[in-house]
Amino acid sequence: MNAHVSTKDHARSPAMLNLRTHSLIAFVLQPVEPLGEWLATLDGWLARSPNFFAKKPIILDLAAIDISVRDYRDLLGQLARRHIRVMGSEGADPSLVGPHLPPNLTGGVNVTPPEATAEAAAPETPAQEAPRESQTRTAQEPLPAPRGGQALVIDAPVRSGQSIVHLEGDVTIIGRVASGAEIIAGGSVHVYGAVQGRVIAGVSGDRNARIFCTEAHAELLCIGGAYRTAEDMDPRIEGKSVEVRLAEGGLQIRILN
Amino acid sequence: MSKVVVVTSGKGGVGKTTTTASLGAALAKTGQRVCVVDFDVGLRNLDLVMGAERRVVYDLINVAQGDIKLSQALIRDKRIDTLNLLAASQTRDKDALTEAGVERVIGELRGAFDWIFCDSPAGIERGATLAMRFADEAVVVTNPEVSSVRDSDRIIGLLDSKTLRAEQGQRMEKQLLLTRFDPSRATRGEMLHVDDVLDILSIPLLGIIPESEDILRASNLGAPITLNGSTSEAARSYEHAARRLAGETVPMLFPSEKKSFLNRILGRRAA
Repeated sequence: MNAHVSTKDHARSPAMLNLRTHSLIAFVLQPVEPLGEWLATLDGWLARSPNFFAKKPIILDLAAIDISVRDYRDLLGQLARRHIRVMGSEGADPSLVGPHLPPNLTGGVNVTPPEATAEAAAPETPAQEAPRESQTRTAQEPLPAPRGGQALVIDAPVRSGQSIVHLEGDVTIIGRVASGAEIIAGGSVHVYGAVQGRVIAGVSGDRNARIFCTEAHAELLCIGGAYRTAEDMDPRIEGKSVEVRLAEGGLQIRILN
Repeated sequence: MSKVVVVTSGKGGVGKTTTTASLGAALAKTGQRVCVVDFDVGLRNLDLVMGAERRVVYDLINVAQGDIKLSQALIRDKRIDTLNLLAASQTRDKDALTEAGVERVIGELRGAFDWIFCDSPAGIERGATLAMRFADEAVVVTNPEVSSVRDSDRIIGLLDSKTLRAEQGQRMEKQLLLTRFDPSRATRGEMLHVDDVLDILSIPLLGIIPESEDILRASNLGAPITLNGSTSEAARSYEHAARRLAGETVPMLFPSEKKSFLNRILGRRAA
């Protein structure tokens, strides 16, 4: 979305190839076996955030599963039915790369241990180009902190149906995040107001990302793929000023003052 | 300087059409030239509320498609000659309206009227987005119910992004009209409080219209409540809202709970 940098003002002439590089942030989905259960978890996520993956570039990490081409095609079909378009795969067995299958992408930057259904990494993807030299994912690799991105400050309430997507860094909202609104940030999210909608922090793999809000009534809070919905939140935090962080075993919500 | 005001809400049945007719009539009474435009193609109602249903020959779509002149489609009110109606088509669907067509009609209306009220259909589809597209400001009609407030919040988001003014980086003025307000239910805590609604939507309050049988009766008789000589609280609230819309400062009236004689006695005894 806003990670998409377009350079429309470049001169366009048929005599030029108009080749340029293009970097964007993609979400990496890592299916795990059994696939049926994994798809059920995915459906649970989609029921809460139907448009979470819509129109976003998705890369499928196949390292954790060992499947046949036939099952792989079936999986792609299942994802397509959920409006998840896979632009490429990572860690795929050579037998899973071929015509009419997503290309195997390598050279992705930043990796995080898979936590739940939604994880994001930041692969540099040259526009429509062949894969480059390999850099494999290792789950235990220390995290290159994806901090240092720009913070986004929004000086207005976020209305129902609006979605603020800022994958490069922190988001600060001065105002309310209404029921049905959504904040998706690469880093931390600070809301100086009531949160009635969904807040998703740390999607760029920052496991130190936190969520702060002055009045918690959230539908969903999520950091690094671990999430908590209104139903399974402690009723004591309702309406309180809270801090949410990722700890061992899930989200930790602390009441401030 | 003419002003185009969209009357919108997201949710259906909250009182957009009644509000369009009542505000339009209230301003027309003061001598301002007013045109009310029904954008609810396929489910038109404004003609009924204005009492002009038997006089509709041509409609918004005929003008937008360039089949006839605007003057042929305008229906002048029989009670106030500064009040005009441009009806919607009942037989066509919303796809018959094009953005270019609407832009041309609104442009022509701007040349002939001081106020143009666009009565938006419910929803956030084409009809609703076209109704708000060329507006200068918006009246967001909301009931003090959670579903209505959330839909209004959504509509405010669209007003801030999908209108021509917003796209040109200009400010889109939005004001809240709280309708069907029932003071007795509010005191019993069965409805959202005015403050809660204002806090959630964070836009200025244009007025509070009490739930009233007079309004229902006026709509069914085809005489907007600000035109039929009613002295009810609802009529007064609409008149005040219209004056505020025109820039006057009018103190806000909070609808009071009407207590019958018996209730008052009982209330006192209980206290």
